[in-house]
Amino acid sequence: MSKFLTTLKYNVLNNFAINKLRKKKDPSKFSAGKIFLFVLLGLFLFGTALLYSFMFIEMIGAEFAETLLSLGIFMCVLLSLIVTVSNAISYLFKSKDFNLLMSLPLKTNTVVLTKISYLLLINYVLFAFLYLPILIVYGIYVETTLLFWVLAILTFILLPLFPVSISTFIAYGLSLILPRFRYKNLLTIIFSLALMVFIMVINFSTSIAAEDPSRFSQSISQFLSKTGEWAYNGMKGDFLDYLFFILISVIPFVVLIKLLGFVFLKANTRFSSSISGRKYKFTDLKIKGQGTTLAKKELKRYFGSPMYVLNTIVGPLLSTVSVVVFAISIEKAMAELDLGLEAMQFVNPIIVALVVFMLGITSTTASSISIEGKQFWILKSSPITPKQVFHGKIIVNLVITVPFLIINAVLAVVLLNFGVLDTIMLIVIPLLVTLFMSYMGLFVNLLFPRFDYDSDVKAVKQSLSVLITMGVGFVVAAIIIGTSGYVYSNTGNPIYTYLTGLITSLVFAILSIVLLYTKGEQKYNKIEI
Amino acid sequence: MLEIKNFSKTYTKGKKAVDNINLHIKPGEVFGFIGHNGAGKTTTIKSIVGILDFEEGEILIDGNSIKDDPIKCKSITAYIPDSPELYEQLTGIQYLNFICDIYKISTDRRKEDIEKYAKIFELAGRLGDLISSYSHGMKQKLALISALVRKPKLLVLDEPFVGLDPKASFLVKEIMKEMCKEGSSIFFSTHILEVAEKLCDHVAIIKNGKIIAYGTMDDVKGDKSLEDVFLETANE
Repeated sequence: MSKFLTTLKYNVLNNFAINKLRKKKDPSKFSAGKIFLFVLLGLFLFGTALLYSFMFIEMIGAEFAETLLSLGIFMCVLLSLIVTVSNAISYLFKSKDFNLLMSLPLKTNTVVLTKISYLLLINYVLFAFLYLPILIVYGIYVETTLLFWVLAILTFILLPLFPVSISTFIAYGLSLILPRFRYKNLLTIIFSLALMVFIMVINFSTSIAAEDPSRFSQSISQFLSKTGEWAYNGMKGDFLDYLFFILISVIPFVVLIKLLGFVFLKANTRFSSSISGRKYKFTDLKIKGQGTTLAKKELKRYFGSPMYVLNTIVGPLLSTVSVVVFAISIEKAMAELDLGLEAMQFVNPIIVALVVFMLGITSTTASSISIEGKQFWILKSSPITPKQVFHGKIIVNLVITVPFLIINAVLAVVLLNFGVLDTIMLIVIPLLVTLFMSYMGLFVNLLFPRFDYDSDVKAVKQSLSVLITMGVGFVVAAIIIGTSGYVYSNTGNPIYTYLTGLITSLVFAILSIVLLYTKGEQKYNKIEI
Repeated sequence: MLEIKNFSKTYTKGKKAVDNINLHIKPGEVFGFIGHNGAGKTTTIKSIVGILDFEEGEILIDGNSIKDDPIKCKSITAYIPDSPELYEQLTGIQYLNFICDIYKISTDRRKEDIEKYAKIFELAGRLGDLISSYSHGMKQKLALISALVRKPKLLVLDEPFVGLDPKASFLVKEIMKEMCKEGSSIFFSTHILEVAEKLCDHVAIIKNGKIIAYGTMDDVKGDKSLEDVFLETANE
């Protein structure tokens, strides 16, 4: 086996944690039960994507089925960009195995190729659950030829090359700029958030599908990157476009590998060096309370990890983006339907529901115990109570969510003329949901902490507690929205609707607080490191 | 075996981490590299093994430049950092196999050597476990085994005794002596001056990136202890 394949094999084994599928008692054998669960999860995800694809076609009508494929390619390109930019910096230029790999007799190009191949593999795994189900549904609704399928498979192979190249170039650009700044983490966060908002805006713009599917195709092609457009046209029979697609995929990729081969060592050296600040001068050291100190420590840890911030700020950020997008769309719809301002009172609870749903997606606390990693001993050995530790962690989630709640309220007043009651409810109900998510996330993380990670990505993204918290958040948001919606549909009274939302979210918040302060404390004390 | 000529390393903002150092380590020599924290030891070591880019000077391993022919240099070198970052989700044996594959070590030889060193370091029973379940000392031992199975001509160690139990420390020292008898060279940094004094043929003291003392152990320490010499130079 070549050195490249050997290195890739062990990288995949390590990064995908394939050994976790082995039996605990006899690690030389794989566990059939674990493999079964793993396959089941894969089938579930694949099936969900299939279901959504069918639902999409049912929604827009079979005559517009072609839209599905263009949307699929578009989503793949976007997804690839998001996934690769966030992974490329930590995996290419700040990776923990850099010292190990570079001290081995491997050519720099081999190391680079291994790392890029791994990034591609991540993309192929994602595409398998997005592009392939869409392709199957597309094949059912639209008449296709054998050549179409050959090109469709070729597209699957080639599609990540262009976004991976672009993302890696961006990551390399950041590796050139960021080490020059003292606050490189903050800059990474700002840049990534800007990119995230940009992608969200593009994504929301495509939601006009339900209004007019034919316009949807046009709007997609407006936003679809050229690479996706050429691939789509090529699969439909335009071979010149397909040739462009091949060239645009392959050429930047080859250039990327060659360029990285030259600059890889330099870029990593740059990242590993740190700028020494001004000489420290002793001043009066202020005494702070334990609670303040812990909260400050938690906030520093949080904002010191771009990966942590970017993955947990999505919910609050989406809540604000959705208020803006909803405000713009509803204004248009009201004008078209010729409805007066008084009709808005029936619409306002929907915005509150939207914000509740978005806030149920993420919580910083779902990985706040895991993120302690090997430093958890510092907390455990300090003379502080579990409650104090919990409060420090919960404050982080409140600090990043509450400003968004206030912004949402201001936007709702300005853009949607929200009254006093609507505005208060737009703050209070989401705040209770945030409290629930903070306490519940922490409790779930205490049940499923993960300390054996080598990068924040694994603690923040690839952990069971985050997945479970998301699931619980989704269910609870659905219950709050569902019960309120039920009351609304039966009474048509916004006050009763809000009251139902308020009571259900309050009940969930109290339950989560009780759970954390009883069972959670016991779990905290039992955690071994 | 290892020749460092006029080597300097500058990080951003023009501050020299290492300033024009010259060292020469012959085959069969144990070379101790000592200095206070932040003196430039790890920067030098990382440059020797080709994981840190540098612009000034030359580093030759067995006559080959680490900049011009890194593969040749790395093929005969083994490096262990002070706190080895291993692939935590691999088992111990998988990691060793990975290293053996990269160094193209035959099946028979790798089996024999892995068994031998795993027994010596009392790690044989744990090789099937995930590295993430190892203690710091066990990871250090695994990294050492992975270095020893390569039978390197140059062994570069950054603080090799940190985290090792007394028995393992003793074994490492014995293995180092044995390797030198067979013609390999060892370059290592340490803060444990008694060990350096007993083990090294040659020693260099680095301070603020500059070599301030260099020679045979007897030349450097004279009739004092190495600790006295180090403290004197550190306080100057």
